[in-house]
Amino acid sequence: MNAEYPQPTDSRVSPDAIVPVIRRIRSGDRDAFVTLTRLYQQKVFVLAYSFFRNKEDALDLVQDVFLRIFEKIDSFQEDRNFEAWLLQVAKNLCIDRYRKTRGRREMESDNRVDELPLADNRSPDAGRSSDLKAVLSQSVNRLADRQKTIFLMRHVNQMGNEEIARVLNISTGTVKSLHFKAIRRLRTLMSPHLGCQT
Amino acid sequence: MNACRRLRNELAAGFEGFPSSEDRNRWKEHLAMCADCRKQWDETEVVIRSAGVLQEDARKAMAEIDWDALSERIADTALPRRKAVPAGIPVRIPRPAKRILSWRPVFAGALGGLLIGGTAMYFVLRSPGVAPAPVQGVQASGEFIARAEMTLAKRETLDYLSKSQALLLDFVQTPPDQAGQVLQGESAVRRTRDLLSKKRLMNAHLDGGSIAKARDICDQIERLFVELSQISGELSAEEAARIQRFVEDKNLLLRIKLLQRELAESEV
Repeated sequence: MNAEYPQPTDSRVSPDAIVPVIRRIRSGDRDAFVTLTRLYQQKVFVLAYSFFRNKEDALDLVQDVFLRIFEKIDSFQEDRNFEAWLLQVAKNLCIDRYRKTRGRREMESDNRVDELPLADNRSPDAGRSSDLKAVLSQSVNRLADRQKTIFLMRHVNQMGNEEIARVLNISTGTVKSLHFKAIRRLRTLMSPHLGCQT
Repeated sequence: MNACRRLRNELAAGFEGFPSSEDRNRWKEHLAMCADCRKQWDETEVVIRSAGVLQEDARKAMAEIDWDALSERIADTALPRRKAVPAGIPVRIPRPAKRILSWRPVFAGALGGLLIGGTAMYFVLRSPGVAPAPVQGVQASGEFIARAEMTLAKRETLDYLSKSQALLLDFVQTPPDQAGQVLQGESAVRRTRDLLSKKRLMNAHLDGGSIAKARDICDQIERLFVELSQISGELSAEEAARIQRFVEDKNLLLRIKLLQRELAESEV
């Protein structure tokens, strides 16, 4: 690993720091590509995992994203934000893959939201948390694509509104509005299960 | 109620962080006295808090992954792909050139337009017939106007023949004792009158070109219709039979048909 490159522990890599790495990748430097992958693979994994709720699918997607990035690295414009570009590619691949495998996942799913046990004050905390996770997970899957992406980016990837806006190529106001709609829809979908949580 | 609606729109904003302490205090005061809004706030809080569970789940899954090995594996898969490309080193296009190339369709369109426009202008300006003469009204050659007039006259004649033929057929095919009713009915009288008017208008055109051959038969039809229109009182069976014989003797229907075909086939 080259010490001049940013390290995976860097939570935010400045655009200036990433440009030399990209240039090296373009000239065929394997280490540079490994560095780039190490820097961002976990971020892509969290996004993919929040979509698929499955480690194997998420890992496949991480691989697909970085292969795609490698193929398209020549077309990346250096004045653009690399992370936004990467997450845009990741988001698009997540949605594509999610749509392709939707049927299979629905069949594999044990319960529909309305079939999951309702909230119960007497339930032990652990069971309640697990039920809530299942309810939330399935409710999120019922959101429209953009609402779902924004909700997951906000609350699972911990991305800010501006960052999401950059990745999705929309205004911050639209991000806020779609986020609000996502929460309202989730509240409606989950309302039978929320009774004891408050 | 309006306050609730207004404040609920700020609900999501509240979770993003209130813009001012005044807004936050206003919300707090409202929540303290409105059970409905408080319920919504609490539910929203649970939804957002439960999203943390998903994040935690992802973190657990991440802990089981060997990230270094993953990045090496991805690089092992990616690098041979690039090496497999025959060109070896990708052709690097400088960014300004890329920008220009991204405008290729627009440039191509503009260039195409210029070429077509330029060529058209060349031919227009080269042609001797474009000397700018003030155009007053519609100008057309005398020959063109004559041909147009003849075409219209031919159409009128054919229409006249066709309508006359229909009326005569109705008359000829009816038994003589009922022919009077057919010929003196309201519809037949109107049709006869219309045909006589039409013939008067046609007379001016029946002297020239290929229409001239229709003059004779059109005149005969006109005379017949004039005679019929002048019959006062009810048409007797004998009278009707006489007129029917006249039509047959003169082969009027057959001649009309032949003339129609001839006119239709002839060029003006």
